[in-house]
Parts: sequence; C-alpha cells; structure tokens
Amino acid sequence: MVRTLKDAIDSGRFIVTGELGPALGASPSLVRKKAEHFRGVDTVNVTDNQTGIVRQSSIAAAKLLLDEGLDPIVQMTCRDRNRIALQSDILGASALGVRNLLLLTGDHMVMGNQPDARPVFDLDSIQLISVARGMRDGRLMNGDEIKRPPDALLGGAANPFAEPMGLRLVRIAKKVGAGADFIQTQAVFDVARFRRWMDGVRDLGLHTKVKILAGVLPTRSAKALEYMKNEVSGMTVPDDIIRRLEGAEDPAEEGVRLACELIRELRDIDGVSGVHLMPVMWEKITPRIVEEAGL
Amino acid sequence: MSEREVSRFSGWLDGFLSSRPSLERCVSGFGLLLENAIKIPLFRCQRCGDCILSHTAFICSQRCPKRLRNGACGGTRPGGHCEVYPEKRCIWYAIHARSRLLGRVPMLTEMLAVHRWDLEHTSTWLNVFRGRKEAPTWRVGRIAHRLDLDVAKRARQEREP
Repeated sequence: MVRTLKDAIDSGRFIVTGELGPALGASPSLVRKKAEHFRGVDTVNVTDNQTGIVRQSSIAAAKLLLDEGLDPIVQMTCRDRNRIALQSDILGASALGVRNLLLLTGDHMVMGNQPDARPVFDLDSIQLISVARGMRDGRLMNGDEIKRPPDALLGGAANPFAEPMGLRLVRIAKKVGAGADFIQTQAVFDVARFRRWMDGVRDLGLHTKVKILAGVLPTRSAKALEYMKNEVSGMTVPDDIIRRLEGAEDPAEEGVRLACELIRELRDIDGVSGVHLMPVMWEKITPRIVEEAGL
Repeated sequence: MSEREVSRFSGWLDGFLSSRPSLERCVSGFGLLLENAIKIPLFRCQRCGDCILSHTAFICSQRCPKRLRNGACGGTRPGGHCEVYPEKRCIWYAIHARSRLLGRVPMLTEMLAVHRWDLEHTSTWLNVFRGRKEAPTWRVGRIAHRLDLDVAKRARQEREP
C-alpha cells in the first residue's frame, strides 16, 4: 500500500513529509536511490530547481518516485514559467499521477548559479494557488472549462521567522483563502519564535482550515548551517544552534538529537498537524529520525 | 453619476476610441504622458498599466524584483532587506508600515488579481475610463474580501484578563 498525503490528512494522524532534490545530471538512479530513505514518511517534496540551480525537472523526478511507490509533492515555482506553462504543467503532472502540489513564488535567480536568466514571476504564489484551485474546480484561468480537472491537494509555504509578523499572517491567511490545503513552513530552529507565530495563526482560526506542517532540517554540520544562514534565502539559523553543533564531539549524533528534540517540541504545539523533514544532503538519516522521534 | 451611467459612459468611450485608431493612439499617448509625469516622480511608477496603488498604501509594489502583487515573499533577509538586493529594503515592508500608518492594512488582505500584461505601458487612468480595468478602491470599508484581522487582537485581549 502506498502511503499518501491524502490518507494521512483524512486519518487525522500526525503527518510526516520529506524532501529531496532531483539529480544534477540526467541519470534516474539518484532519485531512485534517495527514494529508499523515504519509505517511512507519508509523502516527499520534490524541489523545483531550488536556489536557482538547474536540476532534473520536479515533475520528471516525481514520476520516478511514483514508479518507486511513493506519493510525491511536486514543488512549482513562478520563477521560470508564465501562466500558460504553469497551467500546462499542473495538467501534465496530474496526468502522470501526481496528487500533491506545493505552489511557491520561488527564490530569485540571483541566489543561484545562473543569475543572468530572465525572471518570469508572471504570477505569485497566492495567485498560483488560486489558479490551481480554480483548475481543480474545472476552470482554466481564462474561464474555459476543463473536461477532466486535475485532482490534487494544494500546498503553500510560510516563513514564520521573517518580519513583520502582521504581514506574514496576512500572507498565510491569503493562501488559505486562495484554497491551500496544507502549509509547510521554513525550517524551525527558534521554537519560541515559531510559537508566537502559531499564536497568531490560531487567533485567525487558520489551523482548523489548513494542515500546518512545521519544517525541521536535520543536519550534521555547523558549516552547512552557516552556509544556509548566509546563502539560502529565507533561512534563519540562531548562532547558539551553530555553536552547539560546532562544539559537539560527534556532530552527526548531535544533529539527530537536535532534530528529535525539535520534533517533540513542535508536536506539542496546538495547531501543528505534522512535520516536514528537509534532510538536505543527508537523506539517509530520515528513517532513524522518524524512529527516534517516535513519528 | 450612478454605476450604470458610468458603465454606459465607459462603454461608449471604448467603442468611440476603438473605431478611431489614429485618435486612440493620440489619446493613449497623451494619457500616458500625463500619467507618467505625475506618477513616476510621486510613486516611482513602473508603468504596469494595471495599477494597484490604492491597495498598497500608494507605494508602487512593482518595484519589487519579483513584481509581487501579494507580497512580501518568504526570502526577505533579517531587518527587512531584499533577497535580491541586500542593500535595499523590501518594498513590501514599506507598504505594510505605511498601510498601518494610514489604517489601510485591511486592503492588504484582499487577494489581488494577476497582472494583465496586455495593459503594460498603457495609461491606467484611460483603462479605467474605458472600462478595461476596475476603478481604484479609495475607502478601506469598500474592499470586497476582507479578512477580520482584528480577530487576533480581540482573542488576545480575551486571553489576558
């Protein structure tokens, strides 16, 4: 039996999602190999040329995962495609059997290795969620009817650590209003700050309308965290976390302990429906974290 | 003027101009010139032709490198600096700050429609008069899909005795 996000949401159990980046080359074996590490989670995000670095297309990699018996979430960004291409890809992904989409604005290309590319940003993430919702209800953007509408759960992202909080809450409320079914957050390291954001989310009653999956980024290296803090957009890593990993005798063990601690704390927060594991460059640790955190 | 009269006028104007291509070129050119002369110095207008200034506290949101209409994106750096140009402040932070100052935060809660690229570099004012685009919303109370953000404040007050 394939574990799917839809089943997890319907059953009401604590949801666990993973994330993997498609290969830089044309070989299908990397994605297939990484897929083995995600057997124990409900669904796996497939990133869409994250940080603006060219990789296999997220839909193609998702098809490889479908063939392996996993239920992928295809990430779609507005950076590289206009509205015609986005709608076409939603239809195409659905035809291949993709049942979950994460709709994002996308990192700007200046963060990547081809900053001279033309930025598209024809839609923004909120508009894209609303377009996908319309398509699910049987209409293209221009109002034309779709004979067989795509059937997919729609997700959005949220960054609880960016200021100002008021604007962040407006954004997530708009995403829910546009038709999102689930929200995956940026990696949480500062739980106190995340709690304050969740207070706002609960005040608006959003946690009852949408599944909120808190991001957890297991890592074994202080250097990688330092890199993410400085080079990856939207990432906030407190210095004491970096020092904790730096000072550890066995950084890998410390990384596992840290991730499990975070998961336990996040799980206890009212309104959090699951966690989203992002083991960047460390996919093979996922089964251990799932087991040790009791997920 | 009632709403019906307005729509009749814009229908007539649109038909009148559409059937006279050389007059249309002349009027559009003049409209654009006038609009640019006012909006570029005042708002650093980016001439999208599908203006949403009334929703963004009269700061042009199209200065955002991603041209977001429902910002801010998740990539902003600490202190509210832009993901793309770290030395610049995020334009959406400025929009949020001024919206608070002017009591226009509810305007930000309305999902703004996609940019109509076929209107780019045309006069928004003329587009409104011709009925090609909705008129701006001046009064906060008039927006269609507002979210009750005061809920947050009230709920917090109830919790704290």
